[in-house]
Amino acid sequence: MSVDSFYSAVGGDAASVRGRLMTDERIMKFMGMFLADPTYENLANSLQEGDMEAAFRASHTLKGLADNMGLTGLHKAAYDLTEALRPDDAGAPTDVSRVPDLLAQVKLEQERILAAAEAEL
Amino acid sequence: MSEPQPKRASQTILIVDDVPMNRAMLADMLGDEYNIIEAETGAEAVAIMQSRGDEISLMLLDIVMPEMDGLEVLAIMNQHGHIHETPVIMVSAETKTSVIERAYALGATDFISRPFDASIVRRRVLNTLMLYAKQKTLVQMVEDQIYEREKSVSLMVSILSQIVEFRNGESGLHVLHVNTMTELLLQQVAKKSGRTDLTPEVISRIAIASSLHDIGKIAIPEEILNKPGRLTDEEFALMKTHSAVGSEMLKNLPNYHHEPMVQTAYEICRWHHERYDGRGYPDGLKGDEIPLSAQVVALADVYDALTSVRVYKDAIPHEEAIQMIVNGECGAFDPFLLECMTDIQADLREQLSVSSLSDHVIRESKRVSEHASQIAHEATDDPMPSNRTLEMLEHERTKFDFYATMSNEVLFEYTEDPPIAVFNDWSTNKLGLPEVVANPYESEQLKEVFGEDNLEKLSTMLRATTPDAPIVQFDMKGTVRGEPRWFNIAARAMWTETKDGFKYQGSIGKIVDVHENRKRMTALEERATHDSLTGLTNHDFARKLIRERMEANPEGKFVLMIIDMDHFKEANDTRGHMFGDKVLIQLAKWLRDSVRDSDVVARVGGDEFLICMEVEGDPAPLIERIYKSIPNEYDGFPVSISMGVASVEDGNIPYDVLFNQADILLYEMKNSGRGGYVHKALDHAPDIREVSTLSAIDSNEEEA
Repeated sequence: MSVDSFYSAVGGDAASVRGRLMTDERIMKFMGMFLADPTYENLANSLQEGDMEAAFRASHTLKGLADNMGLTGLHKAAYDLTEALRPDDAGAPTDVSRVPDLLAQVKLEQERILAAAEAEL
Repeated sequence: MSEPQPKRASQTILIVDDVPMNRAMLADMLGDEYNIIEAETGAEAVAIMQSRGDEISLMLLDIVMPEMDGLEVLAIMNQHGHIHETPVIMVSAETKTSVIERAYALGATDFISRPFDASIVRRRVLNTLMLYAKQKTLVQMVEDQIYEREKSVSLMVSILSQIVEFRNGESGLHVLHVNTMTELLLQQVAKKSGRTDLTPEVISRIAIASSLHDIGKIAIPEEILNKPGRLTDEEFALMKTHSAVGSEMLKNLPNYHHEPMVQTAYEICRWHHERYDGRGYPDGLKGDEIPLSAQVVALADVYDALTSVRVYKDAIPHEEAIQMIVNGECGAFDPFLLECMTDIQADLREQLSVSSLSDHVIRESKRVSEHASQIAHEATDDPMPSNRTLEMLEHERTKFDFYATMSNEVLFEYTEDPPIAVFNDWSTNKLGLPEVVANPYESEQLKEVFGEDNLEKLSTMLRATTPDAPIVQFDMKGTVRGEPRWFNIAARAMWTETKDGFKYQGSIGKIVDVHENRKRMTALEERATHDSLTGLTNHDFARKLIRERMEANPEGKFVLMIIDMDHFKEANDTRGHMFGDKVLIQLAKWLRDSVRDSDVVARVGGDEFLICMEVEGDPAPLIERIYKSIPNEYDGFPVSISMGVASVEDGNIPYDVLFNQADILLYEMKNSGRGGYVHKALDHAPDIREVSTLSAIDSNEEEA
């Protein structure tokens, strides 16, 4: 059982997750769901198709999921991306120029998590 | 009072989030102490609230969702009033203050932000449930208390007034009539004048107190009260003291004389014989010096005295009594009050004529409970319906579902805004449909089951109805689990009247599975129109079909062939009847295969068959081809046929003539050696003589 080693590998906050989700069993259960969740793929696809609204929603969802799982790095990256994608009053993304860099950051975090999961869980 | 504990096992929580993982996490954190229902979209959440909102104790609602987001869900819940009954806790990763504030403004009770903390989620949910449970209990308590209090006051007053009536030798109806009329008059006064001080509560109090208007008569000697003849001046003077005496009795009530009910009763007792022009008794008050309560009771008292039988007079009819009062024959009244009475005279007559004691009790308890519930809701500032109403609705729904299940009916309800269809439980197992379908006209599942064209047809038909004739019905073929099935659909459009005319709101309806019936009908029809051995149409039905085609196309060039199998008897005799049947079946198949599907092929009887076709141009090659298509052997048995063929060359030749002609030609062929055909083209209907001599005419014959 390596919840702690997994979290230290991805730079997450194991103590806080344990405090909120109460048991390691539950953490493992939802981490499994998180790893199977298609939100990251949705996000990448929406951006590729240029559907900014869907991309905003996916980024927003990813931010929430990461936050719930205590994946601090991913949460921070998704947070920045969400704010850049957030529709302004005219419905266009707030800061579209930063999106590629921010997406790369999210991708990096996502890959780090997948790698750590493979090694530690 | 102890804090009300919500019964947790029976609490249902609706989780609305488009991300499955979030729903799973919340459900997991809440544990199995609650019933959890999940909705994946805003539309689904709204549909659940519409159909079973009263079961939902609390909603956990995400904000950012595709199509309909959480704020839109809140807005719709406001529109339909659900927001007052069901607390909503927002759950979202949203951190933008303006969005959160908007959610609160739309009535959200609380906000749980990410990351989810199991203990916080549980605590917030429990707190909110407790708060709402407490509020509901309070509303119920206030309601019950008011109901009890009013009921007991009303009861005591009834007993008291009955005693007075009894002593007066009256039936008890006088008090009820005065009571009813007082209430109706006051409602009209309130409506017409717009006086805000005449609240339902005040009107109810005056109506109850009106029952006491004659309690002073208890002090009047019985022989004067019930004297049949005219009272002497002295006796009348004594009689008149009853109003002052009654009011004194009330005034001297220890402890209670400050109660609004007692004060109102005092006014009524003392001044219900005052008149607007100051000529009444005991105080000679004038105009608005007389309290409204007393003026109204005075009017009701006079009216009822006129329309009732008394020891000294007969009953006067309603219209006449109203006229006498308006004419001032019974003393002066406030002209505005008289107007109010005239306004409602039809209503008065109806209500007072049916006023038996039991009617009164029913009316009274209805009024008291309505009033109680109104006060209770005012007190808590909450427009939700009482639990009694909810229980009744729940009961009705259970009943409805049960009947639907018993009668194998699919029931549905459709609302246009938002566009959602809800099906009953039974439908969902029977048709494999979800209970709730958002955007049903777009739904792939519904299109699959009912067919896109049927859905469109239904929608078009419903929208073409009118509020006077809102029902449509038709049979349609659907598909259930891949199998075609017939349904009969009956639906009623729901129209509401708006200032711009009638608006289509949606529909309700039922879908009955008529597949088995229809199959039975089809089988019967098949049996009645087809030959059971060969499966071809029988002669009767073929005749009908051909006549229909001839009628539809009088100019058509029809060819009618009668085909007879040569030496068929030998098949039966040498190889048995089973084989004979096989030969006939084979011949039928060959004939069927030799023509187009649209042509009529029938077994006329025995070994005789019929083909009827409509052709363009010369039929001869076609006839030749058909004749040649029949093989000359079947399973060792030599096959040979003879045919008589009559075709229409020109003009309108009736079926019977064509058939007779072909039949004659067939016999000609049989007589001249079999194994061939005779064809004759007709250009006008031959007359009887010509038909009978036809065998002699062979100019148009053609031998194969």
